[in-house]
Amino acid sequence: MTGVETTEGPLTADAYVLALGSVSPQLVASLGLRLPVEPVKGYSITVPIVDAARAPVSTVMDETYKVAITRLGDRIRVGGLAEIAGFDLSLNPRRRATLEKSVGDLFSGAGDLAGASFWTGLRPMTPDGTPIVGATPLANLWTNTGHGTLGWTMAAGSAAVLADQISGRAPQIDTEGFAMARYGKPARAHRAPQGGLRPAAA
Amino acid sequence: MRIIVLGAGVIGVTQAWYLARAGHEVTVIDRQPGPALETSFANAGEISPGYSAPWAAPGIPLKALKWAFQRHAPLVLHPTLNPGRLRWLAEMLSNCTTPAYARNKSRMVRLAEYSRDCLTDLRGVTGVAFDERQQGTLQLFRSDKQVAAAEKDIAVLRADGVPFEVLDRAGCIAAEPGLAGAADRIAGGLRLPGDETGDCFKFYQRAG
Repeated sequence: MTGVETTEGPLTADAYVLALGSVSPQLVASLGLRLPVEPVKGYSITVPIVDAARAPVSTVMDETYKVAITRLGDRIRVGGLAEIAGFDLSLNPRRRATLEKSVGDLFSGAGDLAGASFWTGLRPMTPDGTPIVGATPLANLWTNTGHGTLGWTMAAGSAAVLADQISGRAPQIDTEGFAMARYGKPARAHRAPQGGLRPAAA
Repeated sequence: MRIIVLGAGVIGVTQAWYLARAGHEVTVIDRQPGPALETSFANAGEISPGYSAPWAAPGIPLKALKWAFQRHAPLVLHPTLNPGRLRWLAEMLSNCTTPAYARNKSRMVRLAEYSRDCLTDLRGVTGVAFDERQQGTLQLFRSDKQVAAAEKDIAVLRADGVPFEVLDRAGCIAAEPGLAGAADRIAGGLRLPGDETGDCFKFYQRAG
């Protein structure tokens, strides 16, 4: 890989890390790399607390709706749900109703539901749950993507592991099964020959 | 080395920080004007190594069918003819076996447990406040069936050496007093005292 096309012109470096969440596969498809990462849509509401005594102190996972209710300072974040619907970012009011039902059932009166902000995001999900962290068939391209619901949980560890690998140091944990090699050989091109790298269509 | 990180979400920004600490010259590129403005913006706020498990699990295909007919379903699958998505779904289905689940979960737990240690370090070094709390997480069961189903997760937690507490209704309310008004809905709970919470967006706004 020789560079990245951006709106501010081409940029080059010695190495590249792909950390574009669910958009990652589109960017490297032209390099012959297949990353099995699909956008899985989640929703959250962020609710101002009106009665702190009725609010959660940490996270409560409502198993029935698979919704997480978390205390964030003077707010309650209620997040969860999964829609497999491509890259659509529309806000479906039925999902908001499910989030409101979960928090309303368990922490009634804690927050101002009418004053909540409603949000959606696309989780980059792999079919086997583990993120794709490590080397690619291109010598100077690395991936750190596909963390699904656990980006925030795994961000620091994934970054530490990959920083060690890129720096030529041994990571502090076993990295078996982290890199894209676990999905088998790519459709074309093994390690790109030195001096014969294709430009990135990024 | 000069390194370009593509993506300024929770993963890209953290990656840039670790690379810079290792002595590299790092540039981060994103389509958004600032960090953590897409999927990292308003996530559930959990840092939950204890719940690091693949969605592809034994029993999920059957559950997904039931959810298709529920009003408040955790999973909604829109019909698709997209070949990439169909292939991905087929791969997910093939990971719903017991051996695949065990292999995938052990990889995820390995990374997530290490990640919590790294975040503790990161928090100490950067001193960034993000509405963070280290008070554990509580998985709340509304039915005896859910309590019974948790046995298999408890076995995995025990095997992995992850600390946990099995709570009855009173125990759940003691851990989360705000639940007192919903006592009649609670069948039990599973608390993971090692889990944490915090606002991902705030962290990256302030760290950036």
